[in-house]
Amino acid sequence: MIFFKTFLVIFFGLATILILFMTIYLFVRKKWRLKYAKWDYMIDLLLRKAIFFHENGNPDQKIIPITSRLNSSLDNNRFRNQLTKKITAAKKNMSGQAAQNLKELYIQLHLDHYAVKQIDSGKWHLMARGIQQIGVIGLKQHLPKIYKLTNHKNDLVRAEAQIAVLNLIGFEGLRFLDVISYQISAWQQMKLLKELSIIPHVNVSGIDKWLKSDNSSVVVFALKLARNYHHFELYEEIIACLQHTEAHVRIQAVYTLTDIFTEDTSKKMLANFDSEEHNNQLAILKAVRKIGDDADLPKLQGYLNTQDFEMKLLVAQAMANISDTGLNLLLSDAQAQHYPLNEMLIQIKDELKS
Amino acid sequence: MKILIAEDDELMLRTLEFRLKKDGHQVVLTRDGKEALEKIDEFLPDLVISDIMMPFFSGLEVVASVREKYQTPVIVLSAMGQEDIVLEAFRLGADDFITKPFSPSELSVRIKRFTIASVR
Repeated sequence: MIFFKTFLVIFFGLATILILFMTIYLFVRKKWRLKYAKWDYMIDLLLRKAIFFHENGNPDQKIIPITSRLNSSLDNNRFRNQLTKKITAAKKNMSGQAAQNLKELYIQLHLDHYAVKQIDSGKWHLMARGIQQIGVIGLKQHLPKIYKLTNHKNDLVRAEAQIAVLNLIGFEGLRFLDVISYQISAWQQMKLLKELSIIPHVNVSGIDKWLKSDNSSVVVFALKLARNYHHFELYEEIIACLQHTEAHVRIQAVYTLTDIFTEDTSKKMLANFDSEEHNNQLAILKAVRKIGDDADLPKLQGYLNTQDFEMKLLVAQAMANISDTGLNLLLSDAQAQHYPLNEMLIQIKDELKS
Repeated sequence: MKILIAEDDELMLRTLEFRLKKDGHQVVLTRDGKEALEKIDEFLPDLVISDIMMPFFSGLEVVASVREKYQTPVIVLSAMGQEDIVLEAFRLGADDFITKPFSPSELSVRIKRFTIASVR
């Protein structure tokens, strides 16, 4: 009985504590939600005022009027974070005078000082946030500080710094590739290329040097740049990448050469075929399908004997796509009447029709 | 002119509203594609401005749906690097596009073109 009573007391005691805790938690959460909503409203008003500042009869005025309430809220970390997030998001969507006004508002509120403090803090998540802000707002005076971080040991800091230098000085910012010792991930390369695609294009110098870099990811990225920006003058350097020690560089060279090629390119690719890894062999066949000519047909026909279905199909597709001679050679091949090549030929003929 | 805006970024939505009201237009705000499609039938706008990337229904679906029922011109708002999607929007019947980042004044000028056309 005593045991049961003790159990009841403990149970109700714990339940009361839990209910109390939940009530307080929900109350505090609601309070914060209301506070955030109020801040949101206040910030939106301020940003709208800033965006249209010069249109509202203030052509010569430099300082955007700030309410004392907003000024005092700036000491609050959470408010400042929310304000910064909104200014940077708005800056990304605006151009012209509106974007300039947002930049001036950012500086007027000394948010750049906080961003620099974050960068100097040494904590990677704060550093990444600070770097991103400086890049989006476009504060070129901080370029030397950001540039040093493009080879930082933390991958997120490094990634943000690389994007930020492109935001700040465009294609010229790519000179971080001269010195970077860490690998640039495939994802980061995509982000860098996306960032470059929205920057007015100027002739990129340095790709030839990056194609010979000791950092294989820099070579891969340089190959992507050469492909995207049609650097035909780098043909010989790209061909040399077919002999690179790393397979991921060689396959990227094949992709680039599919767009930058001469009449010898397919021969040079096929010359490496036997010594290549399986994936690279498939890539070469796909490339030869696009850029090959009749001179490649005898070599391709030799590969028809492979037992690998995927490769056999790619060889057949390459031959058929090169020319009618290739297709006729394929149809007259001894295997053409037998499975699987006979089935593949049906598919290839359909593909050629469409 | 009656203008319906479909945009999921609240600040952008309010900025556009502010600008267009200042230019003397009547504005209806919607925050996703689904709400936009409902309001278009109810409000019958003279012009629709729609972001491409929105929840529930994308801007492309908004363009296709408007074109199916009405002659109302549609301007799509796209981000940089979405050229393929913009082309698809044109194929579906969009009349113009603006790439973010853009200046609100640029939007005003583009809208003026449609205002003049509708007066004619």
